[in-house]
Amino acid sequence: MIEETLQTFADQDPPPSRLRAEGVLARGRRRTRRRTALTSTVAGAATVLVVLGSIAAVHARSAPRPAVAGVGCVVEELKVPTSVAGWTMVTGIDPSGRYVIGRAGSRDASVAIRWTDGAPDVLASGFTPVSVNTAGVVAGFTEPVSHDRRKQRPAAYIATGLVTLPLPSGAVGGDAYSVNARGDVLGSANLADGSSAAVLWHTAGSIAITATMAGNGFGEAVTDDGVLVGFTQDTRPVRWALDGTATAMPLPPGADSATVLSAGGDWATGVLAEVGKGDPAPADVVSLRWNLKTGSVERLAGFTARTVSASGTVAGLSATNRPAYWRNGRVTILPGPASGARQGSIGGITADGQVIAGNALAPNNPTPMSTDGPARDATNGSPPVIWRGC
Amino acid sequence: MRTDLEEDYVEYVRSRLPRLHKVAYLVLGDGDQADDAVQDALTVLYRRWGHLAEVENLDAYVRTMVVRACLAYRRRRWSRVLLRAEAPDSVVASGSSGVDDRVVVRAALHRLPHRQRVVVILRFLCDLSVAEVAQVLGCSDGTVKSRTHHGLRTLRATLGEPSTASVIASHRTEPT
Repeated sequence: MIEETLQTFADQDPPPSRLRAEGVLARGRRRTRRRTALTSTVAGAATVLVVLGSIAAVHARSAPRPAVAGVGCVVEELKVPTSVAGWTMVTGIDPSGRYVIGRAGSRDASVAIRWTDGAPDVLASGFTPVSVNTAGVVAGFTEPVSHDRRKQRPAAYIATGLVTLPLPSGAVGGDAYSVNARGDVLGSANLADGSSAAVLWHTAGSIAITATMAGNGFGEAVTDDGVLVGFTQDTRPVRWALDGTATAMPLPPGADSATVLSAGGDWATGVLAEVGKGDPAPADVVSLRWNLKTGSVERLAGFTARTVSASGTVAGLSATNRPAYWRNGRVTILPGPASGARQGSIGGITADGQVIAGNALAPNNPTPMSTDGPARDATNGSPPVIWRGC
Repeated sequence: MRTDLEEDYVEYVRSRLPRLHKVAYLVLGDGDQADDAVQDALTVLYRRWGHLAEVENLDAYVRTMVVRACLAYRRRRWSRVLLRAEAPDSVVASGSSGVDDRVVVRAALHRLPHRQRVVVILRFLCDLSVAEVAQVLGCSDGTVKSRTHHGLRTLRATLGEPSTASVIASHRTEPT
């Protein structure tokens, strides 16, 4: 019986926990103090926004039936270097659509790939590319084979090659998650006490820290206009000024937390943990889109957001985990590499919202894709693709 | 918090940590992430400690907090998990020399759609009832049953019941 197999699996001991009761108490005390301080800051900032009259939460809870992309939206498979074996996962595309980035290889030997006008180049091993700008500068992080995120280092691939970005004092690791047209890179530093601080670097001319942000947060996206967004360790969306001060981003009524995943132009997108009745409240995935110019926030029904373009189009997954985009309140499913293709993942979207890069599961691949990973086999049955004219 | 309440909290946490860590590990499949999610849940519990007089079943309440912390951890790290998660497991053929029961079952679970995977893990690995899973996930009993049905059906197809079960059983009695 399958239930017995699962029970046998469950009976096995997990790896030992590093948590101790006294440490849990100490962390609880610290976080409670920080939360109190942050809540004061956020409350003040939110008041300012309300006074400006710019918060407008838009409800769109009923999900319309998704549409299928028209004939103008076509999918092309991206070539993978012959030297690379195993899976390939697309992680980003630059705003112009010239550069696509991804990660490929095997568990112990992954490499970063950058496609230029469709031609792939292996950039470096042990480097996970996350974001690329119109000049081809790539932000990401290096990591040991153990995939211990506490040992990751922020890094950027620039004209001279891969460089590790400096960490602020007291940091033991970090990562970089976004690069804009000027070469400004936003990411985070992991501090020794387990907290985190968003960090802005510049990579044009010289490489150095521009600013370290106040509060306990993760830097997620920097726009070409220099808008910095992310979220706190208490999962509250924030926007930082260049002097490092944090301002709360609005939340829909009834929500008390959300994370920001991406930003482009005047838009940002993310997800929130929907708050329902009961204590603890039940959770459900709800996607959000913020207008950074007006301060409004809206819910995106029937859709899991991944990344937003400067035009406001959001790329992500449909309710059935198919690659899709959200535009003007409508979810449209992207075509597969052949008829019958099912699930997939999204890496990025161009500024005009017309070109999207990601992975699409081929119809002959027996392995369904989940939202936490690409192809689960070694045959690259989930090919890297680019959708154009969508 | 008053000192006596903190002592109660520490005692409770000390006695429940192994079980809570295991639940989080089963849901997330990673020891470090499990620790982070348990810490998140217990931090919230710390803030609420002393205001839980009306909670009838504290263990179930805290377990629910941990499961939801796992789901929240997974969501807020969604983009990061996509990039940061270990490379996908290679498919290991049942009966091959490299077969390991944990790898086979874990790989099969990971290939399930997320919502089915969470339901199967909570029902059969964390031993929650249909009603408890529905309460944790904030959905109906029928939704839990449906996802359980589809999840188990996929697992049977993936694990090749009963042949894989036999393979696992023989593997456990005849280690390579």
